[in-house]
Amino acid sequence: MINRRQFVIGGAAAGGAAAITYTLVPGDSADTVPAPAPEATALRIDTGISPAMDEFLLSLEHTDTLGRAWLAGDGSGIGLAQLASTVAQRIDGSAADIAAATATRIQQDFAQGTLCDIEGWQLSLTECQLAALRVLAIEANPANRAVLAANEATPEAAANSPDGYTVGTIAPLQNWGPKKTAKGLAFNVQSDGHCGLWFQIAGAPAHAKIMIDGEIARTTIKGKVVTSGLFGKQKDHILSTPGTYEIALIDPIRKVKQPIGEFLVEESPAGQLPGGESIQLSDCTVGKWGPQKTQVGVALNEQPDGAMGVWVYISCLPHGARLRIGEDDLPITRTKFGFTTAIPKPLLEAPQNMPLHLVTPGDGQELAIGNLLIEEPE
Amino acid sequence: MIIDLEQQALEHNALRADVCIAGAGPAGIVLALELARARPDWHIVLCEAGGTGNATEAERDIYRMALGEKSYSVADICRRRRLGGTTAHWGGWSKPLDATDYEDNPAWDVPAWPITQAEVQRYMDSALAWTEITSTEFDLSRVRDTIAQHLLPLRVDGPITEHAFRFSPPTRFGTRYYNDINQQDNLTCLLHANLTRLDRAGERITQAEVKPLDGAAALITAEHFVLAMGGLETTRHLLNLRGEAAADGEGIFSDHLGRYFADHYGPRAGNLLAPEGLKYHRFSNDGQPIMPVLTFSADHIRKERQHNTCMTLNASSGEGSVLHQYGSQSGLNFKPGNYWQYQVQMIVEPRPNPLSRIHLTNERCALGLRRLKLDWQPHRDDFDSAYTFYQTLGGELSRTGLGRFQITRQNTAEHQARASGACHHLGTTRMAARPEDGVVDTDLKVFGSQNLYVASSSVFPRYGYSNPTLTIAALSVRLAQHLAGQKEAQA
Ligand SMILES: Cc1cc2nc3c(=O)[nH]c(=O)nc-3n(C[C@H](O)[C@H](O)[C@H](O)COP(=O)(O)OP(=O)(O)OC[C@H]3O[C@@H](n4cnc5c(N)ncnc54)[C@H](O)[C@@H]3O)c2cc1C
Repeated sequence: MINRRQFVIGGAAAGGAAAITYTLVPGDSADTVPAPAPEATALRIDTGISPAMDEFLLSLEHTDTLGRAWLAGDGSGIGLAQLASTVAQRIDGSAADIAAATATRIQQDFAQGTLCDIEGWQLSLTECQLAALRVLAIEANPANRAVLAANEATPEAAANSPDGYTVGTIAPLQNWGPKKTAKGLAFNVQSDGHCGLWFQIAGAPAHAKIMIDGEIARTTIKGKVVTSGLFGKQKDHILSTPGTYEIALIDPIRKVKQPIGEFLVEESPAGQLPGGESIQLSDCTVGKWGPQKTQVGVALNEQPDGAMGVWVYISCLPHGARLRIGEDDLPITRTKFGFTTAIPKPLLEAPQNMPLHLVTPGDGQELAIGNLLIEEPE
Repeated sequence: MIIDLEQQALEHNALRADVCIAGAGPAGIVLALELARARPDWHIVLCEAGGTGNATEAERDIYRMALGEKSYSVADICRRRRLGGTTAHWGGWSKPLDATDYEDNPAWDVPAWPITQAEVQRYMDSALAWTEITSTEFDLSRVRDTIAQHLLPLRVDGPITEHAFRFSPPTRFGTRYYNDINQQDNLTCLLHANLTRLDRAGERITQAEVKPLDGAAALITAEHFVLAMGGLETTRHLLNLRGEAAADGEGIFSDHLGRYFADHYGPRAGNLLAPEGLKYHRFSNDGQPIMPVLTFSADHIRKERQHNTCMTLNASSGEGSVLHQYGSQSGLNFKPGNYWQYQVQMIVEPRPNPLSRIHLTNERCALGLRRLKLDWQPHRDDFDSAYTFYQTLGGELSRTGLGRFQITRQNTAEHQARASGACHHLGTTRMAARPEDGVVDTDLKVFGSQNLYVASSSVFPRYGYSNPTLTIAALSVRLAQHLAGQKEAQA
């Protein structure tokens, strides 16, 4: 018997990602023949617990990473039927309001200490199991593969496919940067740790996005300035892998891609940095350095003792040089490209523009590096 | 009047004063000016080791100290040897101690403050004026409405509450009060006047020897002597004064002298998932800086004998996290709205630990004083309590649908050992009601001495998490009033 109901759930992803429409096909019948989905983006979940539970699971967007993590750990080897039965014992699938029943169950989990630990997150066992159940149920239905593939064609996902876009013009680009860095060197580090990129683009539509190396990056558009950057795993990957990375502006609705240029990650400069007794500070030239900006009390690039790690490119480095910040001279560590140092957190407590100098205490020479801006957030 | 001993020697290399204060940081400057203004009939001498500019390498070398097993990575930057002392680069974070900071924790070895919060509070308005703090509302509940959208909707009777820090500009005492010091007729401030020796006759200090690094020594005789050279140097001088004598008596002979060294530090235990836009960090509220912090409630601290730990939060992108874009689903017991991830930073209340101490080594500095060895041993309970706090807060968030919490760094001895200090030197001349419990009495007079006082955060017997300078200034105002009145009474 085919007993099919269809639920259409519109879910707006948190963080402003595009809305995806799901179609749910509940039922437990083995002879169910999947009907052609009315929409290409329809996912089907059939846990056998209840249609309401399946509908609820479909609504749990952004839980799949969690679900997979639980299945890789505590839930390893568990099958759909077994997990569904476990969940059914914890949540009454026939409850009039499954969401409310689940929320209550989760509260109980926290009260009773029935927890699961995923990468250090202290979560309720119920939410871990629900996330995992959703993953297993989606994977269990072969039709979902097509749906997942079709979902690739949603604006955001399609943009990830190089073929999904036609090259064209979206808005005139005036300038952008930074255009390169060296391997392992974070650039333009922002307070949340991402490496910021800026673009001057007049008239970019509000929904336009920056695509880096084929992946859509978080993008903010304010007037003529578009900001984006390298985040999370992509940041780690790109910074650690010398090469060129394509940057483009995309219009996910019109499916237009406007190439911007290539971001270059150079090999770290090889060889030994000139240094020693004979080098004078005045012979040396300071290159890039960072972080150049932070917020009061926040140590970016945090070191084990809580200090802020700072790196400076320089063409040579006299013996015994130290970094002067305000009135303090800090020891430095010589590297292939220049040096690094650690600014103790108490020195970052007041909003100010702190001059950084390289000094050689013996002869009193000073070389300006730049100012570290310590800002107070609004 | 300000006299630089490097430029000009004193007539007969001697001065007579009613009160001689060693050290012109905030403790010494507030005390000296308050006292000079309260007693125009007195002559106050303020002896400062440094000048008006940065210390030379040779001067800095006087501070060089050995370290015990635990590193102290701020050792080289935690003190300034110049007029104004360490306020030449302090951050201005300010907050009076909380009520529980004054109370005994029955689980600890030593009593807390022998004076009440109200007693210190009497001098707080003056302390705020000295530190130029203009927004003076520290009770967050009174300003909560104006920033409620940036705070967690916490249960009123729950275990977690909030407090607020305020901020000094930060006042650089050496420049801000230079003219005041110079123009005060009955105050002589000697620069490059390193205190090198205190002469003792029975229970009285009779004179102090001060001198520039290369120059003639001067002798200051006075009725009262106050050591205001910062927590470490003040303790060092008292230990030098004790010399080889046994630590089996009162005051400088007390075994408490040099013990209970503490600094503020804390774990960065993990991340919170919590409603968007929280501002448990310093920010500008209508042009007035404020920093709300999360703490245990006073009831919880008392009932559970917890430490008074505080927490700040800083938003992070959460990219790459297993809970990226998680939250807000009501079915998963989230309150409606967007959720962000925040990095957690805690500042623990260090438990006074007798094993955490400063000793003298046999090496001497250019002034002939024995050097310090800092053997900082934070109590293991500090981190335990901080993690309990984090878990309690995380549990509250989880249960009430306000978020989740993640532990990225476990509560291990290694994690605790890596944490560095905040340059607050607390506890080594602790204040107590009885000589058996401390080094100075409730008037800040060294037990067993008739005329030697201490003005420093080293007298704090319980530390809280609040930065100390505001309370140091309040205690200096109090000491000034005490000395001014005491002398009158004697007359
Ligand atoms: C980077 C940094 C940031 C800080 N931020 C804050 C903050 O935000 N909030 C806060 O409350 N606190 C902060 N502090 C701590 C604050 O600076 C101290 O609490 C405060 O300065 C202590 O005042 P004091 O007068 O006791 O000692 P000090 O300021 O250290 O002054 C002691 C004075 O004694 C002099 N002296 C030393 N030896 C001798 C001698 N032998 N003879 C004569 N004079 C001597 C010194 O030259 C100095 O002038 C910070 C400290 C640092 C290092």
